[in-house]
Amino acid sequence: MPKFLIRSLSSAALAIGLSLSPVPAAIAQDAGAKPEAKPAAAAQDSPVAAAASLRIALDEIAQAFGKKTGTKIKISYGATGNLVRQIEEGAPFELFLAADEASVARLEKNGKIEAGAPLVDGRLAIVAPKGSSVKIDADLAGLKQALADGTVKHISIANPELAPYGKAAREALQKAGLWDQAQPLLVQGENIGQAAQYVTTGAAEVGLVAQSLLFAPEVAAKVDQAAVNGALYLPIRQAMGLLKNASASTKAFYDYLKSDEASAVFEKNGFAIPK
Amino acid sequence: MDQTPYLLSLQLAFWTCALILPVAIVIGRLLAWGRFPGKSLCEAAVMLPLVLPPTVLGYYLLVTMSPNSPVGAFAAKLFGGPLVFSFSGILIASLIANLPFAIQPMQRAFEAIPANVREAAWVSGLSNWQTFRRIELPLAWPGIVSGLALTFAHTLGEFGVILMIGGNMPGRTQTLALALYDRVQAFRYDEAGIMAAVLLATSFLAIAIVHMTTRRPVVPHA
Repeated sequence: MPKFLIRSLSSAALAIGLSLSPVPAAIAQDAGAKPEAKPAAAAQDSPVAAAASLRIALDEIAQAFGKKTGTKIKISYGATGNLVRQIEEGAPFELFLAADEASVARLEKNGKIEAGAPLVDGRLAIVAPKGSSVKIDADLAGLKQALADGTVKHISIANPELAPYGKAAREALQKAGLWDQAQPLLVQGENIGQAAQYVTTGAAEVGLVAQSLLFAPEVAAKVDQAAVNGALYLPIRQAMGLLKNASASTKAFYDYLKSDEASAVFEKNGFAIPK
Repeated sequence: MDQTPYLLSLQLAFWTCALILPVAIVIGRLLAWGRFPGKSLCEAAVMLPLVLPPTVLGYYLLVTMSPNSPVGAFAAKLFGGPLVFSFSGILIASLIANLPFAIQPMQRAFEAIPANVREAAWVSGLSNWQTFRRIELPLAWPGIVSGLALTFAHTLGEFGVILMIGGNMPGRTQTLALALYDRVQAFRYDEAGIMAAVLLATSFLAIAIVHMTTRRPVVPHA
């Protein structure tokens, strides 16, 4: 036993020694020991922050881009508001895809962004698990009925303070005159992906989420959904911004996002491309 | 299947265990035998992460490590980049969050060594260091192994702190527990299922190790 301990103690000492040289460097080398990784591969990674509404489309686009160029796009999905805060606090992202324009404009004003562009127009959808007590329609009449009947217990939306789709959901409920009845029943996802997940798992009887998350086959099979009447909420124009430290490969991805190929994937997932 | 979160979690667990081991042995031994004013307060401070909501720890670390704070700015210079959203940042968080898990079993193990065993060693002419190496460590090893096993499993499972200061960046700060949360939101239940099973198995194994090592009598009965 002492031998085992002495060995583990000395390896700990070695670890401390290594850690005195910056740990991240040591770790990066550890990661580099993976068979397929080359020393240069680290520079090829593009860290991207993206609104959760873009997930299904963007994963596909990033994969296609990766196949083409060898660049690994590493995407952190979250609520737009959270991502803005992280970038302001110095998170090492190189590209930011928001669920609105205001967040990109804000970072531009803060001097974090060197180039920005409109990305897509998103739609809000009302969605319910198949067999839900709530009937789905663009004007939220079914939801109104269900609220009057008391058959709906949970309405899932994203946090309106952090997520533009959550804000749009609040607008739609207000405009439809349902806000007061709906408010006590709201279940708030931290981002729109979580809000959608509450519905697809059947935890909530109905939700107001980004339509772009509902076209994945494994989701589409489980839910009924309809685009909410555009008159009920302000248009959701999603924009992107290239951050100042962006590498050449991230810049290439930024340009690729404006290509016809990328646009086709966005359109397939219910986004419209701004003219 | 994407192995990145598995590797990242393993690296985090390895570094946490390696760095916490000497610290926990020293503190555990001190708390077991040391008599000094404020000892109870020290013990309370060490145990704090056990009951503190992870978001509280996350909040303080976020505020401290942010490049806008003096400490964070100094650390950013030292580490060549801000600690928030970096591997070093989550490693520091992990070390703090794991203190009670590592120290507590080690402290108990040192406490279980009767004073007369150490006295016998001294009388036999062993120095303090020799007593530590030849007598204390061999007797305390089950506690040390327990502490490391708990630390390892707990590091893999840590969620709140890592999410708050790490920012869920794939390959950088997205550990297994965070990747699981992420995959569920992406509707990739098959990948999430594997991750959940791996975490379940490691946690079970860690607890099993703790029980196996502590069942063994630390000191043979005289």
